[in-house]
Amino acid sequence: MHKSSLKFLTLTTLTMALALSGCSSNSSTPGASANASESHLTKILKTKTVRIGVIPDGPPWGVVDASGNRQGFDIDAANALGKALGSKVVFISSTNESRIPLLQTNKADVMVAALTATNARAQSVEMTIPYAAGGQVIMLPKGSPIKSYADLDGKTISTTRGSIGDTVLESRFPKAKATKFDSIADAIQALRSHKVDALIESNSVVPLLVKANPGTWAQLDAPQLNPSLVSFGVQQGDQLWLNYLNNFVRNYNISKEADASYEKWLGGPVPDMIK
Amino acid sequence: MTLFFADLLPYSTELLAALWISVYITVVTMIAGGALGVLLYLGKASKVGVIKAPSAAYIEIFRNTPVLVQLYLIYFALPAIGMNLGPTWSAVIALTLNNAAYTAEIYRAGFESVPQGLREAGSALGMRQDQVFRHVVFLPAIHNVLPALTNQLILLFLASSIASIIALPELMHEMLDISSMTFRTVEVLIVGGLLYFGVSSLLAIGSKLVEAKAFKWAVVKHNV
Repeated sequence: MHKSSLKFLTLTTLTMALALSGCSSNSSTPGASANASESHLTKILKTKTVRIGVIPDGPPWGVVDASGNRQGFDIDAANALGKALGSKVVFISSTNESRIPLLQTNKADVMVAALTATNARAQSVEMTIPYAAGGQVIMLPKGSPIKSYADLDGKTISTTRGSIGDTVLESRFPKAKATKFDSIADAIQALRSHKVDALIESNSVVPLLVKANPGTWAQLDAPQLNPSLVSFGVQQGDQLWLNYLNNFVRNYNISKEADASYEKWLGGPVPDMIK
Repeated sequence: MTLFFADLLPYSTELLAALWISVYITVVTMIAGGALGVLLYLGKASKVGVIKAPSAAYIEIFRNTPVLVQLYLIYFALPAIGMNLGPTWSAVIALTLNNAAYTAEIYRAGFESVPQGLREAGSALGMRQDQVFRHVVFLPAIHNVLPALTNQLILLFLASSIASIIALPELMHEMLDISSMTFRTVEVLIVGGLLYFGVSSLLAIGSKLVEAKAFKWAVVKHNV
C-alpha cells in the first residue's frame, strides 16, 4: 500500500480509538446474580455508597425541584436508608418500566420507587415488607361525562407502561383503550392536552394533582381499585441484603420520621396495616 | 445469562402488526417528505427573496432541532391552539416536516454536483430552465445522492421508533410493552432489533435494485 494511504488509514483508526477511549464508564459488572459474588450489603458497607433507584417525575413519591434537589416520600425513605448504612446515596432515576431491569442488571442496589409488590413482579425481583399502601383511582377532566367505572368502556385512558394502573387496565377494563406512555409526566400531559379521556394513577398522585388544579381536574368518585402494598425492590438471590432491608423497613414504619413523611406526602399517618 | 425467547411467542401477532405500522409510517413519510424536500430545495435555490428566505429558515429550524422535541410539540402543544391530532397523524406530520429538511439538503448536494457543462449544453440546445431541470439535470443528480437518500430512508424507518414516546403502537412501543409484561427485556430487544435490521436490509437491497434498473446508463464505477 502507498505510504500516504497507510498514514491516512492509521490516522483515522487512531482518531476513532482516542475518541472512544474518552468515554469512561463506572458501571459494575452486570448480569451476574448476587449470589455469584458478594452481597450488596457487604459491597455498600465497603464502598460507603448505595445506589438507590427512584422515580424522578412522580409526585408525591419522587420529584426534582427547581434547584435540582430531589424531594418526595421515596426520597425521604432513601435518605433514611443511606443514613442507616452510613453511606452516601447515589440516586438513579428510573421509569416505571426500567425499575426491574435496573435491578436485574445491577445498575442499582435497591429500588425505592413506588414499587407495588405484585406476585408477578416477585418472579423477577425480590421485595421487602411494605413501607406504604395505596390503590388506583381515575382522574378526569372537570365536566367529564364519565360517572362510574362502567362508563369507561370504549374510552381512552392514559397510564404509564409498567405501572399498576397498566395492569389494572388490562385486567379490569379490557374494553377501555389503554394509551401507554413512558413517563408519568407524559401520561398526565396527555390528559391536559385532551389526548385521552381519563388517567389512571395511584391514590397518592391523583388527589395532589386535583388539589393543585381544582378547576381542571376531578377524581372519579368510586372505590379505590386494586389496593396494594408498596415495597423496596432488590435483585434476586441476595438474602443478606433483603434481610437488612426488611429490618430497616420494620424500624422505619414505626419511627416518627416515617409518620411525618407519610403525613407530608401521602396525606395521613403510616397505616396500621403495615406497621 | 440464559435467554427465554419462548415467552415472546404469544405476542408475535402484535409485534408483526406493530412492524406494519412502522413500515406504513415510514413509506408515507418518505414520499411526503421527499416531495416536500424537492419543493424546499427549489425554494432555497430560487433567486426570489420571498421564496428563498422562508425555505432556508424552514430547513435550518427543522434540521437543527431534535425530532423528539418536534414530535412532542406537535402532539402535546398543538391542542393549545385548537389542533388535536392523534398519535399516527402527529408522528407522520412531525417526521415528514423533519425528513423534508434533511432531504432538501441532500438534493442540494445532488444538484450542485451535476457539472455546469450539462446545464449549459441543455440551454445551448434551446431548452428552457425547467426543461433542463427535468430532462437533463434531475436523474444524474438523484443518481449521485442515491446512497445518501437510502441512508435517509433507513434512518427514517429507525426514527419511527421515536414515535413510541407518544404512545403510537409501532414496533418500539410494542417491544417496550411486551418487555414490561414479560420482564424479558433482553430477549425483546434482540427480537425487535432483528426485525428492524431485517426491514432496513430490505430497504437497502431495494435501493441497490433501483440503482441497477433506473440508472443503468451510469456505467462509471469509481475505485477509491
